[in-house]
Amino acid sequence: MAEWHKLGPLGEYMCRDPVSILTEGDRRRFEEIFLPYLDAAYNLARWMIQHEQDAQDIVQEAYLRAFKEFSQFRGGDSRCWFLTIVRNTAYNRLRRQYTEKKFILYDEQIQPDIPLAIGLEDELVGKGRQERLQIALERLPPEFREAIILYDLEGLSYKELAAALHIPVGTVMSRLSRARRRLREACKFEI
Amino acid sequence: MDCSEVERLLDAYFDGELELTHQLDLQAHVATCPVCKTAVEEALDFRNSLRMNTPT
Repeated sequence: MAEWHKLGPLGEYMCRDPVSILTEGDRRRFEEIFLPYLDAAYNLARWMIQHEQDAQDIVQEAYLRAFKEFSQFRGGDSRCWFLTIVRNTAYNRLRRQYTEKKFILYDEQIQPDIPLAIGLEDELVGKGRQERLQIALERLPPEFREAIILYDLEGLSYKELAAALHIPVGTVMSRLSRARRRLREACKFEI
Repeated sequence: MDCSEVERLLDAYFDGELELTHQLDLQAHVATCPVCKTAVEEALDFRNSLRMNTPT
């Protein structure tokens, strides 16, 4: 939303919406850098939110947020920077959904192992490897699901994951390990 | 390094995120432990499966 700032004693106000002060050159540069990440952004949003239309909305919102914050982008890993925005946007929506439906978010500080989703074992019976894996991934708590997606499918490093998820590198390591263990169990890859 | 430590560090090892000293300790243990050697093979199989079977 645009912010209005008072400028001086005569009381003039000026819209300081960051989007409005970006130039045509900024817009072209933004598109060159970030549009190639459209598929990765949609993939991450879809896995996190598990709803195609909502995932499209999240990607759109994330692009708008990224554009507004573009003046703060100082170069570096643009993919990680943008996927972090997508992740945060999706997480905000998930939080709202969890609050509205009164779900309880998984607390890894209290529960050392990821709880098995209710009915998951029955759901996996008779399914092939790919389907079992997909179902098990969908049923992981979101914080574990996003770690798997960002690391195993989108190729972020532990350090980049730590920055994107706002957690220490050690937590990235244990979170990935626990998520993979749960997926292996679901796929009967006992270890 | 013991078997439980190998289990804890195995994913980071395959991710290439483990410090060199831990890598060497883990390799030394796995070379002499058939249980962990099997675990390594299964973990590799799973990782390949995850990348190949997860739709993007």
